[in-house]
Amino acid sequence: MKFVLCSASKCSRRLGKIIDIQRLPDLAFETPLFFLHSKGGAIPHITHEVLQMISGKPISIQVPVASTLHSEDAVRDFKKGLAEFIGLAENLIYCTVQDSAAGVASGFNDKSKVSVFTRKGRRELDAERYMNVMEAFCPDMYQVLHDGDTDANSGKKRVTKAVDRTSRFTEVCLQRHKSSEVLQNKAILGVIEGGHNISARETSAKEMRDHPFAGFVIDGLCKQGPETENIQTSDIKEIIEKTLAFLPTDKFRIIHGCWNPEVILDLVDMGIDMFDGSYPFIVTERGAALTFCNQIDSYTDCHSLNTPSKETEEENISECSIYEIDLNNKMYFDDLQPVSKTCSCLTCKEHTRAYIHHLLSAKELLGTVLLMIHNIHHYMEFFQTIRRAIKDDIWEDFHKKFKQNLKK
Amino acid sequence: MCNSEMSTPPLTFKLLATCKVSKARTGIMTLPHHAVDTPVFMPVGTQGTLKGLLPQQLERLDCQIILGNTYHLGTRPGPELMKKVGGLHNFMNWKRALLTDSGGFQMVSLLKLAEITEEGVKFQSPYDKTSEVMLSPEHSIEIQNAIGADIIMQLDDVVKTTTVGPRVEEAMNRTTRWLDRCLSAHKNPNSQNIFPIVQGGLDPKLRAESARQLTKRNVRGFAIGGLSGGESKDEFWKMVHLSTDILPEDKPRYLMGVGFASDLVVCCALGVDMFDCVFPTRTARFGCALIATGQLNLKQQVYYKDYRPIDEECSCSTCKRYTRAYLHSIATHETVACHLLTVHNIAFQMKLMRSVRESIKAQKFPEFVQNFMSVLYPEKNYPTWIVDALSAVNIQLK
Repeated sequence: MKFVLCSASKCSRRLGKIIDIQRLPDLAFETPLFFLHSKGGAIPHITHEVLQMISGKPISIQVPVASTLHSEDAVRDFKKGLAEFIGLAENLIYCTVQDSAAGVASGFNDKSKVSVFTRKGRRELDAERYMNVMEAFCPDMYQVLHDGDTDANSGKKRVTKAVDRTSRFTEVCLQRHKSSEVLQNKAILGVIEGGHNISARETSAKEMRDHPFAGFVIDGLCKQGPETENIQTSDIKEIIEKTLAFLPTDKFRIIHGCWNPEVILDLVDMGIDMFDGSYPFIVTERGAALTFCNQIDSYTDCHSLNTPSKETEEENISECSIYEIDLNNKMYFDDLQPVSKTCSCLTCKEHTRAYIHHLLSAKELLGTVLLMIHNIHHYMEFFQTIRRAIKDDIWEDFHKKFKQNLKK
Repeated sequence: MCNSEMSTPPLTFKLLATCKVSKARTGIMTLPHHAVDTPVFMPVGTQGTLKGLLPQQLERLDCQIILGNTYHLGTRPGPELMKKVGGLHNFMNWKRALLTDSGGFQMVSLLKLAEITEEGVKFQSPYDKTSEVMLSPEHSIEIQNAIGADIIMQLDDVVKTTTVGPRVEEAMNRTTRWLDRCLSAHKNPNSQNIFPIVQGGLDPKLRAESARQLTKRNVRGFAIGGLSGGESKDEFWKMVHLSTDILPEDKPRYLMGVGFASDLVVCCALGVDMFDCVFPTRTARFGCALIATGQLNLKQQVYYKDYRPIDEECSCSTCKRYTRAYLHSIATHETVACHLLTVHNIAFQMKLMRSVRESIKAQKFPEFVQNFMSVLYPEKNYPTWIVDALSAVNIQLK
C-alpha cells in the first residue's frame, strides 16, 4: 500500500490518495476519508445488497477485533481472509484493536496484555496472540497492538505506561509482520500514545516514526464511545498539533472516534487524513438523521431543515440538534417530507419522516435501516465536500462558513 | 369479456391451468396494484414494513402481495394518518398488492379481556387500561378503507379451533351476519375487495353451511379461517378439503395462517390459491434458514466452520455472497443476520410457489408433490395426514 500526498501543503489540511493495495490493485481511495464502522464484520443494519444501494463503489471499512474475535478460528480455516469471510471482499478492510463506537473500558490492560470486550466477555490479547489473529484475518491494513486506555485526565505515570507498553507490543508486531508471508505486503500502522502529555507524545512519536509503517494512528486522546462527540477542538488541538510535529509528513494520520462534524473539519485542518464511521452509526442508534450542511454551496437550504415546523418541546432539543433531527420526536408523526429535501439517498428519495417515525416507535428494524442508509450517505457526501473544498482551494472559506453556520 | 362501459372490477381471477389429477390450480389474480400469480405465498408485514427489508428488496424477491395487520396499523399510526398519506401503499412506498386482515384475530389472541357480542369485539384499550373499545364490523372496514389494501377481510367471529358445542355454530352464523354488515359499510367497492371468511370450527356440517352461506354473497374471493390454531393436522386438511369443494371454482381461495412448506404443497393440492404466515420471517429472526429438507438453525456450533452457502442451489442475494459460517457468527447478534435470513427465507417460499405454479402448468404437479415429499422425508416416513390428504386428491406417495 502506498500513500501519495496530492496537495501542496504537507502539514495543514491535506489531499492524498491510497493506492497499490496488494489485494485490490486497481483501487484508489482519496483522503481525507472515513472508514465505515462495522460490528461483527457487518456494517450495522446494512447487508451487502443494501450497501450497493448506498454506494456502488468499493469503500473503506473498519473492522474492530473486539467484535470479530469470536470468528478467529473460522476465518483461519477459511483461508481466504476476513474480507471474504464477512462478504465484503471488494472493499478495503482495516482492522483496529478496539471498537471506537463502543469505547475503551478502563483499567483492564497490563504490561503484556490488552483487553478487548467481545460479546463473550473480556478477552486478553498479548502481541503474539494478536498477530495470530491478524494472520488469520489478513486485513489490507491493521494497527499494531496498543494500550490506549488514556484521556485528558490520565496522569504522567499512566501515559508513560501506555507509551512503553505500546512500544514493546510494536516490536513484536513488527517482527511478526516482517516474517509473515501473508502480512508482509499488507499495511501496518504505528500507534502514537501519550494521552495529553506532550513529552510522552514526543517519546511515542520518536519511537514510532522511523519504522516502516504505512501511517500512524493518534490514539489515547479519549476513551472513545459516544461521549467523544462532546469533546471540543480546543480540548485536543494543542496536543494533536504538537504530536503531528514529531511525525513525518509523508505518512497518513488517523484519528478514531465519533467526533462531531465541526471537530472533524478542525482535525482535517490540522492535517489528519482519516477517520472512522462511528459517528453516523451512533446517530442512527439514537434514532436521528444527520441534517447538518454537507455541501459547499447550500448553507441556507440545509440550515432551514433544522428549524422545527411546529412548536417543539424544550426538552426535545438536545445539544446535538444542530447536526441532526430526532425522528423519535412526535412532531414528525405526520410530517410527509423526506428527511432532507436536498439529499439524494434512497431514504430521502423514497420515504418520509412520518414513516421513519412510525417505524422507530413500532420498534421495526426498517427504521434503523433507513436511517443508516441516509446517515452513511450524508457522511460520505460530507467527506466528498471536504475533499472538494481542499481541491478547489476554497477550504478556508468553507471551514469558516461552516462554523459561522453552526452559531446561527 | 371486457366491457369498456364498465370500470374494471378490483379483482379478476383467471385460471391458467388446473391439475388433471388433484384440485390444484394456477392462475392470475389481477388487483388494482398488481397482477398476482397464484398459488401465492403472502409474507406478513404487520406494521407497514416487512421485517427490515426495503420495498425494492421485496420486489427483487418477486413478492407480489404482502399483508398488513389492521389491529396494529389502526392503533399506530392510526387511520387518520393513513387517510392523510393516501393509504398504506403510499405510507410504506410499496407499489404492489396489499391485503389486510380484519383486526379481530389480534384482538382475541392478544387481548385477554376481549368480549364478543353481536355488536362486535369489545376489548380494553391497550393504551388506556380503563376504557373499553369496540371493534365492530363497520369500524374494521372503516379502518381497512383508510389503509386501502387491495384485499380486505371481513370481521369474523373467531373461536378457538378446540371449541365445541353451540358456540361454534353461533360464531359461524354471526360471521355471515357480520359479512353483510361489512359489505354495506364498505366505502371503496371499486378499489378494494372484501373477502368473507369460512368458519364452522372442525364440524364438517357447520363448515359446509358456512361456505354455502358465504358463497351466496356478491364477493370476488373467499378465505378459509379458524384453522391452523392447534387442531390436529388430520382435522385441518379435512376442513380445507371440504371448504374448497364447496367454494366456487372461479374465485380465489385464501387459507389463513398457513406457511410451512409441506402444508403449502398439500393445500395447493387441495385447491387453495393464497397463503400467509409469519413463520418464514419469524424463524429468520431466531437464526433459522429454510431449505428443502427442513431448516438449518444457524446458531448451532456445527456451522462455525461450514463455508457453504445456506443452499447451493438458491440464487438469493444471501446465498450468493454469505456462508453458513459467517451467518453463524452474527445470527441473533447483528440485525444484518436477520435481514439476510429473511431475504433467504422469503426467496425460499417464493421459489416453492413458483415451482408449484410451473408444475401445474406443465401438468406435472403430482410428480412435483411426490418429489418434494421424498426430499423432505428421505426415509419415506411420511406423516399419515399428508398421505391421506394427498390420497384424497388422487396423489399417492410411494
